[in-house]
Amino acid sequence: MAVKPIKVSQLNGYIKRVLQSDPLLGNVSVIGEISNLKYHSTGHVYFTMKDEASKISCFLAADNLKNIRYELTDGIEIVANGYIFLYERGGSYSLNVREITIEGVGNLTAAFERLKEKLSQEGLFDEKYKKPIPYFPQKIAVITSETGAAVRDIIKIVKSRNNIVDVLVYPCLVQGPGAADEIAKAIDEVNRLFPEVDAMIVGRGGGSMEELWAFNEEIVARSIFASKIPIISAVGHETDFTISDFVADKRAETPTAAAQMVVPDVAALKEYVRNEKENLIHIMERLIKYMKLRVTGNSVDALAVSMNHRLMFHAMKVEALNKEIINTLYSRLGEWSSRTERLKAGLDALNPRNIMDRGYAAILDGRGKLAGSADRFAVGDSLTAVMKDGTIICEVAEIRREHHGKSKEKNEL
Amino acid sequence: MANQKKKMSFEEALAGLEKSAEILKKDGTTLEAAMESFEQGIEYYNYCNDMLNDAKQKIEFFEKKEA
Repeated sequence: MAVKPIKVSQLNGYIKRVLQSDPLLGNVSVIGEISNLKYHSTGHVYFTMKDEASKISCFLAADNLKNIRYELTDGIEIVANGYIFLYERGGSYSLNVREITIEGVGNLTAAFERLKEKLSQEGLFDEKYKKPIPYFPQKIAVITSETGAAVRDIIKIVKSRNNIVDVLVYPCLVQGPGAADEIAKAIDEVNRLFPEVDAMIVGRGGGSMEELWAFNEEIVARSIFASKIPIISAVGHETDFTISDFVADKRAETPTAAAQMVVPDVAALKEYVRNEKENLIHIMERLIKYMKLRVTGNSVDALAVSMNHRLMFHAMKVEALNKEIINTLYSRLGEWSSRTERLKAGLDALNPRNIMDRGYAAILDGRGKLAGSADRFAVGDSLTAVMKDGTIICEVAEIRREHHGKSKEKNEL
Repeated sequence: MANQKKKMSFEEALAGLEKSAEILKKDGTTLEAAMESFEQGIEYYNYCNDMLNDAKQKIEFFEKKEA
């Protein structure tokens, strides 16, 4: 049968009407792996979804991208919800995506890593942006679910450590679609309405990766980064790491740990401060005691004592010198007397009287001088012979000149 | 002075207290300087102590309707 030919545009127009009036194709959810992901400068996103046997082009409009809770990346499996749309000009159709969900730890981890990488490169995790958590805040805010375990734990710990710090709980959803939006808004609101808050805790108790996902969403990360009030991120247990943890000023392993971190223990501080005061008093007392000692050390009495000491010292020195001089003198005297004794003994040996004992006499001339030679005399001279027990006055009768030992007569003398 | 003290944080007061003790301990501190830092230290102590005994904690839940 002959059919009347139609134009290409008419055909595509017809297919478009058929496809887009189909109730199933108007709201379809498709599972597949992302590939050829492209972010266009207009803000729209183009990618392909595929399985082992087939693939389909996908389009994600910039308006819808804002509601996507995951950072998309090639290779992860997603569930995309949307409708089939036909481009008449190109004669091609695509899935026009309204919503994307990601399931499974592997896929979620891939999306997590992708966002972490992106924000890290932007510098959102840089140490230089980290604000210090005040040591003793006056007021803290807690952004979490008002019915969760986290808020109970935090209030319990705060109360047990500190009865001074004010706590403002700002309730919000912490899981499911819309949670990230609420958390981000809460952070902005606390900054706007309660600028006096010194620090805030943003977090929740433990849960599955899906349940904690709000804290892995870009919108929350951006709010934390923009906050002027320092933020402690406290999500799940110590093994859970979220994007919030990386961008926050400080990560706490758990909400309980965050509470311990943000409020100081008042009892311990009281004790520390008291110890410091006692230390101060102790040092002051010691200083005064020392000063006192220095003052009394310079009183008249102390000076007198010190003067006496000096006098005694000098007196002892004089005494010692005196003794030394006397000792020296005595020893010199001893030396001299023994020397005199020695000389006297020598003289004794030469005493002429000793010879007289043996019968010799000394002959003196008329003037009383020791003669020593016959030449000194002439006949008729008088002489004196000195003997051991008296003197004899004699007259020279004859002089014979001879030498000793040469005359027999002489020997008779 | 009193006004300035109002704004002083606990941390600053505590640091002041610790500093006073340090100055006292230093060799060659004159008696006058020592007395002065002692008095300052006691003031810092009183300030810290007042703060630590100011048990007026308020725990409240924000009502979103207000905002």
